[in-house]
Formats: sequence, structure tokens, C-alpha cells
Amino acid sequence: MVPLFYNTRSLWARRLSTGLTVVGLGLVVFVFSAVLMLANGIESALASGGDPSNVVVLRKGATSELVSGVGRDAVRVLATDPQVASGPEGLPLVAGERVVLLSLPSGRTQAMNTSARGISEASFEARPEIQLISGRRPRPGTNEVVLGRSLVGTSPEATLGGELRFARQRWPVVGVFAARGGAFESEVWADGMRLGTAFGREDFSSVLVRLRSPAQVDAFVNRVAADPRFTLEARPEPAYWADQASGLAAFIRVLGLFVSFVFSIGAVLGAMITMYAQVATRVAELGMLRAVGFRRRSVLASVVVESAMLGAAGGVLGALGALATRWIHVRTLNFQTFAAVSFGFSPTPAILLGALLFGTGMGLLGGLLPALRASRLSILDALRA
Amino acid sequence: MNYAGLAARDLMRNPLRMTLTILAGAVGVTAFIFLSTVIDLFYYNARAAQVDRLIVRNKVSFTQPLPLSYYARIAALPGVTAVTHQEWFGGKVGDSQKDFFANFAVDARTFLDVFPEFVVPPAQLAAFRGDPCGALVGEQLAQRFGWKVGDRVTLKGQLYPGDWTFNVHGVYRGARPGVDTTTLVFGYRCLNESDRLTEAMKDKVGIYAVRVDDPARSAEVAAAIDRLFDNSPYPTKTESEKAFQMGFVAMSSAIVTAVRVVSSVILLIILLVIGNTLAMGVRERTRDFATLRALGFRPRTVVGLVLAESSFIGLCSAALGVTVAPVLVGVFTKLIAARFGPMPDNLTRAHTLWISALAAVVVALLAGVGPALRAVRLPVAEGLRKVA
Amino acid sequence: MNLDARPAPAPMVRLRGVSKTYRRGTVEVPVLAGVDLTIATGAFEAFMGPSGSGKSTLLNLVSGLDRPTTGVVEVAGRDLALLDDRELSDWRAAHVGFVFQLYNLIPVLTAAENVELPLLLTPLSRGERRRHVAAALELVGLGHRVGHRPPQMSGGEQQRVAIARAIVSDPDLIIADEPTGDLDRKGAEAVLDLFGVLHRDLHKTLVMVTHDPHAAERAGRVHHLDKGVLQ
Repeated sequence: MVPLFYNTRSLWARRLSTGLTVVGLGLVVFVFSAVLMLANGIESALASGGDPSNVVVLRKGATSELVSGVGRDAVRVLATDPQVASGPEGLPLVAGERVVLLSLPSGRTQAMNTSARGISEASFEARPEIQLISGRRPRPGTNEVVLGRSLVGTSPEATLGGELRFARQRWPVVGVFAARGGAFESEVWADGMRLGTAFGREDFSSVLVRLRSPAQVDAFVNRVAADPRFTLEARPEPAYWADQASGLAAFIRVLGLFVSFVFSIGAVLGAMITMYAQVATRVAELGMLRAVGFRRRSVLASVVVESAMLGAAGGVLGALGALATRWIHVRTLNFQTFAAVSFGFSPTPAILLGALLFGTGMGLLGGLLPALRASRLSILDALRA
Repeated sequence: MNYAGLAARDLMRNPLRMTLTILAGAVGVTAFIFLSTVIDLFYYNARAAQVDRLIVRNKVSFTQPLPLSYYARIAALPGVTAVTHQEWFGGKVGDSQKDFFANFAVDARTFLDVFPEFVVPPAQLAAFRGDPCGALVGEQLAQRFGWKVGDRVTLKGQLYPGDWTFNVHGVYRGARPGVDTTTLVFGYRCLNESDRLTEAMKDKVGIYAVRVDDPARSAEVAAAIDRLFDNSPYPTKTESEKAFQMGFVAMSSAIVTAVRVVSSVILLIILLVIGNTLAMGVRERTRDFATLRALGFRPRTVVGLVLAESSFIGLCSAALGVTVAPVLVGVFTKLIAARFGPMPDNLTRAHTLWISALAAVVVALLAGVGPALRAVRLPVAEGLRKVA
Repeated sequence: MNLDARPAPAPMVRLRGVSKTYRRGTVEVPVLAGVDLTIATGAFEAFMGPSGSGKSTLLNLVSGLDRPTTGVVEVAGRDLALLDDRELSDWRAAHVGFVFQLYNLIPVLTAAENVELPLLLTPLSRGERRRHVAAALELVGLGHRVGHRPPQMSGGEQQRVAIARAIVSDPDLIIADEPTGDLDRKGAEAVLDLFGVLHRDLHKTLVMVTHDPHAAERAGRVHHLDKGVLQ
């Protein structure tokens, strides 16, 4: 085996080429991992909305709350199900909710579509993941609203103590809540009756039902589907939210992987150019290695290892760069729901490992042909060069 | 032989490296064109928007309805030449999100007055207008599902519960390239006169689209419409079709920005790859360049040789990329079409191709600047003795 | 080519008080110290001396590739200090031909194209250039190898191509830096014979640096340099 320091020194001797190649590979790895982190961020922002004990009841066939409608009597019927959990005062945890789209001013002239949720008494109790981080809950029967924490600062009045204006009414902000990074953090919550009146909506968009335990979810879903009294469809809450994000996450993922794939071809070519040059300038040295007794295989391995080093360095650089995007927060339109969602780049160990492997793999691939050329050199020709 | 000949010979010094570099450059150009086209996709509707068309929507948000009674009041305003209304129906053919396509309830009588870019044979149009539950489908959509005139299409409603069956009376084409032919429209009466609608849902429309006689006065007309309904329970927001569509783009701006950033990263990668190759070439030719200088060639000739090489790489990469990219875009749109509905054909615009080719050449030239300067900076006497 | 010989009264090269110092990091290394030298037009003079004696530096100064730290270098009556980098390029193209130890041919160009290079700097037409190239290659005895590239030729042949390149534009002064240093005896003799032709028949001024006593023998006068001083 040819010692590794021979490779490191050779790379160092041609720092400029080495540096350019590593930066090129690094940029590719950066895009690759940033994209995966973003898709992961979208999924964890939206898909983490929802509790395993909860079901969302929508009109049969509706894909989102925005296009669904549920009659008010359905809430009463659903509340009689024996498996429904009870709140602190024996109140069944069943909440008819109205979801509407608002257009809040954002920045100069732009408007951002925002989901507003008209809540019932049980809405907070039924969702243990909701934590007020400042202020208090809205009082029933008033126009008071609480904001998901992603919304704070996105619109001029979107802050504790501010006053939103929509539907020709004023809505004072009395609290801010967190929802473990989930989709609710991009919502405005207001009293269901007041919101319904303001938007001319009598029926509910959806009914949230909390069951005694996650084990009861499947049976409940089946009971709702089979119940002849209404044409409703119940879905586990986590599944509902995962679905809401699937389009956007898939778009980002397909786009990103597509781009990474195309990029990686370019980067492999770049690594190949550098490694061919490394081999070409070291023909005499490689011939000497063979002359003193290193086998063809060792020379081949040496060149491949050197190229893999380039790739690994690029991988580290790209992964570090991608980690730096953790502090960037993104807010964009989910074209499935027409409402804005906020999310960040969320790294996972798997993505970082993948980035390193991806970089090293590109290096390996780029080094293969040059290594083959190096190992095929005739000793005599090489020494004469 | 002449200077061009000299430059040409130099290019073939290391054919393998030259080929790899051009391929890498072409990959970059391809990716750049691809991403520019993805950005175009976001702006697609905004670019197709007509200047003389206004969109009237509920001020609260476009998902809130407007009363049908506004129709006559808008039509009576001076400067308004045609008005129509439409309502997002959101029906699906299957149960999954996969077969998604846009479908609207439109006012059969006035639809084509405001949207003349949709072309339907007169006989088909007459049939469509004569049947309350008649439907028109876009060429591309008809192709996708194999629909033809005379077919009955059943959609599952979301906003409007139940199954709805429409009679396809016509297939529309675009009057010019770039018109979206992936939607289905059907008569509003079919919806509004159905007994499945509650009283509150009746006589409501999604948006009004308005044509004005003079595009220069569209802001004035928009203001007049909004003033008309300012104190009603359903105040409106009227803006040009372009502004309406740009609103959606603005809400996706984070993604558009991200794609733009990635596009610049590509240019950077091309710069690195070509720069690397040129730097290697210059280093290996140090003695040749010194010899040329000793013979009396001026520095700018040497710079010219290096830049000729870089622009050659740039041009070849651009040519190759411009050829390959549209194919790649086609593959991508097929991949995402399953989820987001069919994409318009021929997305890659000539404009994008030109810009990308230009960018490639400029970037290649930039990549040549450093190596070219290095080629002439080294003292001649020193370079003459350099063994490559 | 200008073949008629006119005895020129003015010297081709005149160095007055020429010194050259290089900087190696923070240390100043003197290479030439107060060299005074005159080379007559039409002369063939050789410089010998151990490595590091300043021979090559002297050659670089005379051919306008480098500038002295102090002193005046005059070639063909021109003070080279008065020319800027661009003018110096043009001056070299018109007046100086080079022969290097490692030939310095462009590997991707054929013999004919290598010889043609200096002519690209002249207003000659394509046809005229081709005639000059053919004449120069004929003179060095390589008329049959016009289409060959340097890697396909022996060292001696490559050096003869380089000589053809040095004379094709009919310069007054030919500078040769160790022209036989990389050649075998036979190749070296051929090159030196050619130098004789250039000197005697074409009346060129030749300035040659060499380690090779056989080569130095051919020159009209031999200067010895040691530690930057002319002996």
C-alpha cells in the first residue's frame, strides 16, 4: 500500500487545483444536503402537526379543511361516541372548527395567505401539543386571537398586543402559542363563532375528536365511515397533516434531487479532470513506485484513495455549509392549501452522513478512470517521461 | 497558420481534459436552463395574464365568495367591455390527489368574451351554451384522460359534496402558444341550480374577470369597482390579472429565491471547473508562453490565446447544454405531472436558452481572466527554463 | 533574407557598468557586478563560466528579457532602458532570434508552424511567410520534416528547427543559451556547423552561452565569467 501522506502531500503540492475541485464538490454536496434538510423541514413542520390520539373528521372526499364542510349536528353525534376522551370538567373533547383563509399584509404591498382557525371550547384541551408561550387564550365570544409563533413579525400587527384587521373587523392579539414546530404554528386562532359570523360560515370545516388512546383510532375511523347518519370521513390527525405537506415536500425533494444528480455529474467530471492532471504530472513518480516494487493494484488504490480524499473534503465542506442554513427560516405558500407555511432546514444525522458519503462517492467515481490509466503505465515509459 | 490556427492547435493539446471540461460545463448550462425554467413555471400564469383584464375577488381572501348580483353592477360601469365570473370547483376524477387538475364553474355566455385566448369551434360552443351541465375541456387535459366530445365526465366534489356529471361539448385550444389547456370548465347553472346547494351557497361566485376598453385606464376602473362595493358586506379587491397572479408568486418567493440561489451556485461551479482546467493548461504551458513572449509576442496575444480557449469551452458547453436541457425539462415535468397535474408543453423558452448560453460564455471568459493574467505575469526569463 | 554584407562600424552590443541583483526572500544576491562589454556587429562570441556565474543573466539582459539593476544596455544603438514592455516585445520580434538549451518548441505545432511563429508578428502575407519558412528549414537541412511535430523528432533535429525559427525573421542578433547542452556529440556538431554558416555566410551577430569547450572553440572570442565578473 502506498502511504497516505504521499497523497496528501501531492494534493497539497497542487493546492490551487485541489482547492478549486474541493470547493466545486463542496458546493454540490451543499445543494444536495440543503435540499434534503429543507424537504425534511417541510415535513416536520407540517407532518408533526397532530396527535396520535386525534382524528380529523371532514366531509367525505374533501382533501383539506379549507374545502370541507361539516354540519353542526354532526358534532353532537360524534360527541356521543363512547371512546371520545373527556376534558377536565367532563366535557367531551370534540371540537367543531372553521378554517378560513385570510390575506394579511406582509412587507410593502405583498399579501400573505394565512389560515385562520375558528376554535371551540375543546380545541386547546384536545391538542396537548399546543403551548401558550406568551399572553393568554382568547376569551370565548370575543374577537381576541392567538398567533402561532411562526406568524409573529410576518405582518406589521402580528405580535402580542397588536391588532389584526380582516373581514372588516378588528382582532386584538392576546397570545402566542407553540405547537412543537408543527403546522399550527402558521395559523391564527380565533373564537369559532365570531370567525364564522365574520366570514358568513355557519357550518364547520372539520371536527377534531380526541380519543381515549391511539389504539382506538382505527376503529373510530371505521365507525364514522360506516355511520349512515352522515357522509363524513375521519382520518388520523398526523396522517391528515402529513398529506397536507406531501405535495410541497415532494416538489422540493424531486427538484432538489434532480438538481443534485445533474450537479454531481458535473462535479465527478471536475474531480476526473483534476485526477487526470495529478496522474499526468506524476507519471515519473508513479513509474518509480512501480519500479521499486509497488503492484499495479497499489498504484490504482493510491490514486482512487487520493480522489476519495478530495471528495470527502468536499463532503465535509458541503455538509458544514448546509449546517449553517439551520438559522435560515423559510415562509412560503403551500399550493395544496393555499396558505403560507413556515419551516426551516432541519438536519438529521442521516442527511449529514449521506452528504459525506455522497461527496466521497463522487470523488471515488472521478478517480476511477485516472487510476486505471495510472496503473496501466508501463514502468519503462513512465521512468523515461 | 495564423493566430486562430495557433489557438486551435492549443485547444487540442489535451483533448481528454478539454472534452471533460466541456461536458462539465454543458452539465452546468443544462442545470442552469432547467432551474430557470422551473422559475418560469412559477411565473407561467402571470406571464400569460392579459393587460386589459382585471380580477375582482373578495377583499378578505380569494376563497371567500362574492354575490352573483355584482355581475350587473360591474358590467354597467364605464370602461368595462365584458364581465364573466368563475368559481373554483375543486372536483377530482379519482380518490387520490394524483389525478389533480383545475376545474371551474364558469358563466357559459360570457366566458369566452373575457378569455378569448381559448378557442372553441362555434358548433361546440353553441352546444356548451345550450346545456346547463355542459363542459369544455382543454386539449392537453382531453389527451391525458382520453376525453372527447360527447363523453360524460363525473367529478367528485369537495366544496360541493357528491358526484357531478358533465357533458363534454367541446375541446378548446390556445389561440397562441403558452395558453393553459389543462383545465375543465362547466356551466355555472349546473352548480347554482342544483338542489344540493344550501341557501347560503346559492348565487355566490368565486371571482369576476373584467375586460376594460383601454388598458391604460385599468387602474381607474379597478378603483371604481372597489368603491362600488366598499360598504357592502362583501367588499372587493380588484387588481390586474397580472398582479393577481403575481400575488401567488410573491407568496412562493422563498422557493423562487432558493432556486435562484442554486442557479448562481451552478454558475460558480462552472467557473471553478473551467477555471481549474485553464489554470492547469496555463501552468503546463508556462514555457511555451514564455517562448512566445521571447519571440516578441505581446502579452495581450498570450492573454488572447487563453481567453480564446476559455470562450471556446464556454461556447461548446453552451451549445451542448442548450441542446440537452429541453429534454431534461421534459423528463422533470413528466415526473411532477403525476402530482401537480399536467404541465404546459414547450416550457423552455428561447429567451432562457439565449440568456443561459450568454451566461456560460461570460462565466467561461471570467474563468479565463485569472489564468491569463498568470500566464503573462511570470518573468519571461524565468518561464523559459520551466520544465512542465 | 538580407545577404549582402556591409561592414558596420557601430558595435552590436554595448554594456556599460551593468549590475544585476536578485532578491531571494530578504537576501540580495548579486549576479552581475559592473560588467563592461562590447560585441562588434557580425561577431560570434561565447561566454563560459561555472553555474551561477551570471552567464544566463547576461544573455537575458542583452536580449531584452530582463532589465539591469544599474548600468546601460545598448543593442544595435538602442538603449533598451528607454523601451517599455510592449516596445521591447516589438523590438525583440524585429531584432533578436533565440536558441534555447531545451529548444522551447511548441509541442502541438508542426516544425513549419513553429518556424512560422515569429513571422506572425510581421506584415508578411501567407505566401511570403510560407516561402521564408521553407527557406529557413532548407537552410537547417530539415526541408523534409516540415509536417512533423517536436515529439516526433530527435533533440538535434528539434534544435535545428529552433535555429530555423531564430533566423526566419532575419534578426540582427542571435542569442543562444547552451544550444548544445542537451544534445549528443553528433547533434551538437550539426548545430555548431549551422552557427558557422549563420556567422560566416549570413553575417549574423551570435552571442552564445555554453559549458561545452567544443562549442566555445567555434566562437571568434570566448569570455569567461566568474561570480558575476568578466575575467
